[in-house]
Amino acid sequence: MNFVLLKISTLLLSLFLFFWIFSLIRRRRLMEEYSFLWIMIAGVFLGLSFFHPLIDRVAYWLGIDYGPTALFLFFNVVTVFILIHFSIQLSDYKTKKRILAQEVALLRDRVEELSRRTGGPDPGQPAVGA
Amino acid sequence: MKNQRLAKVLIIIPAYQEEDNIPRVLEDIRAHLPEPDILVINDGSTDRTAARARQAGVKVIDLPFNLGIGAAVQTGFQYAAAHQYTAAIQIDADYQHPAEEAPRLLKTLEDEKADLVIGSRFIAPTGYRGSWLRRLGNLIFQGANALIVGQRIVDNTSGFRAYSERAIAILAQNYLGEYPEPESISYLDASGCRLVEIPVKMRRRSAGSSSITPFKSIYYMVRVLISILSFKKRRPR
Repeated sequence: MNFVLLKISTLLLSLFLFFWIFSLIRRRRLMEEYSFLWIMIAGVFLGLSFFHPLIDRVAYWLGIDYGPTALFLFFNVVTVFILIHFSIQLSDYKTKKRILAQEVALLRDRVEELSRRTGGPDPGQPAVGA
Repeated sequence: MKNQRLAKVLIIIPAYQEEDNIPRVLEDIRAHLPEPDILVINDGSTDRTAARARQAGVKVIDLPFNLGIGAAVQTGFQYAAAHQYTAAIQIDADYQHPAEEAPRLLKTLEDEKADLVIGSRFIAPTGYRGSWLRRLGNLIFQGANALIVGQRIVDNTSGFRAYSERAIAILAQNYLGEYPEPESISYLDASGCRLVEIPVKMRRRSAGSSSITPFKSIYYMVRVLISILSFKKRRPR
């Protein structure tokens, strides 16, 4: 079987991933925290495209007959872990968002109360729904 | 002389998109509870809920965007704790909870030295049945809470409640999820609070729609169950 086309395509894919991630970091659209993760993944892609027999070896160890299936399995597992990681982060951000919103609401009430008492300027209506 | 426990009472009304109900809810409360301060927590409504509540002359705190009933009520407790209230009543903004029943919640809070008094629809025949799904959900919560609380609470989802100063302090500190009613029962019990349930009459909803549709009920049940059964591991925030 001819793996040249497969090698070229995975090589191009990983090079594209590297290039894209670096440009995202350069434009400050991606924090280093995440870039590390994605560079690692691009690196794995790159490595596998060069050392193709590695896939077959790993597949053999796992008792999988067809090499690329092991590759799929590997990336599926990695994806699940990444998704769980993002769920944890989202939960954390939601908690912080809630605490911030509550503080803002209570502080706004405080400010209004103080303005009323001291005859200061009206802080204005909250930008609800904005 | 008035009991210390009821020295300063706050009525907390979490409200989201209730412009049609909020005026009569406030009117009802004023008619039956003229003394306590009223606080409406506007949970990011985009309609005229906040404006109508202000028109009625009550205090309104606006959350900058919709956070859900759990966070809205918690904001009320945070306000109550910061302003040294000794008791609080929670009343829904959908006109389901008749304010004439609220003084009995307060009286029970005082007489029984309770920390949480739940106004229950199911404890005695009061004409309320609710959908079969709601009754099933309640049955499941009863089971889950009974496992942990060791006291049978019949109406776990009722949001018509009175809280002591101690309960206010605990609930101001701890966020109990998006649907806090069932979970707050097990949480307050675990915190050593005294819970009492009394029967109350409730009205059927007429204007607006419940935040919990039948379709969402099962999702809601599973989420609350997970929440109740895992609450001990939750770190207070």
